[in-house]
Amino acid sequence: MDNLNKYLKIARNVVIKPEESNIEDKIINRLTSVNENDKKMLDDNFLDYFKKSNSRLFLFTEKIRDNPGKVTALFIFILLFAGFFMLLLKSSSAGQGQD
Amino acid sequence: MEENQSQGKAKKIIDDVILVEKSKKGDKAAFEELVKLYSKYVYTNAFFILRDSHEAEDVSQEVFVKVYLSIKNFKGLSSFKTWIRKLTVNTCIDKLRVKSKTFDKKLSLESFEESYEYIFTNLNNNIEKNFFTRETVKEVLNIIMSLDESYRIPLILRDLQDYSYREIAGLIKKPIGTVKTNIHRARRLIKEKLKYEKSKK
Repeated sequence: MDNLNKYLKIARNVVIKPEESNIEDKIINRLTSVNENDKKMLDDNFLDYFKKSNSRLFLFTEKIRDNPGKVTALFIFILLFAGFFMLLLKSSSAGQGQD
Repeated sequence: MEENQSQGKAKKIIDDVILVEKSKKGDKAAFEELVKLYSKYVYTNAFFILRDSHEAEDVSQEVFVKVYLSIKNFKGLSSFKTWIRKLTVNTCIDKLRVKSKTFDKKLSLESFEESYEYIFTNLNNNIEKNFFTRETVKEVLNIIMSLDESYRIPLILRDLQDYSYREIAGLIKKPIGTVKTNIHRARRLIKEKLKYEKSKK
């Protein structure tokens, strides 16, 4: 499995040579003829995605939803740290009381 | 080596940000530069999902027209690469939905006889310079391309595009459990086919 993961990782940097070698020129040419009709391409699906990709709140909640384990671990760590800090405060104030 | 790679990545992101900012102000040369940088990337992502060079070309054009029309309002909360990748995947999935309503999936699977050439873009990396590794990566990609749609698309989205299981489930409208199972089976199939190919040699 490790090997497969290694090959898949490399495969992320692979591109396919388009059949039409001048695909860039074709796209650039197409862009010169963009008109009002092309705005129909910006359909509901696109607008929905666009709105989400421009929302900090949405991206933040997505990150949390995609990493529930990490968020839980972080929450537990914060709780433990706070508990430890409280304990430290308590013991130091008890020490001062004895003095 | 890794430090060099991460420095290169960081520089690329900064370059992208500059080009995007210029494009937002209507600089056509900057937008053309973005097209030159990302056209093959968009084409490849579309080809992996659709397995049709003409459709992949159409999607590439459609994606760049969409980007061209909306870049003014792009806030840049995610990188340009992530944005364009997700836009490409969404457009391809929409196309597949329309296609699955009009065509028989088995027919489209059998008719897949496209020839294509792989280009390794990260040749600074020593591993990629290794001939054997490159050949195996090509083999892995060929196996992925030959997989059934229900295995191929979740695997591509997860292992090549970094989507979360939850995102994939939402995109292909299948339960997370099914997505995980299909990805697991796809990986097993790839390993088995790789083993078989090696034993043949």
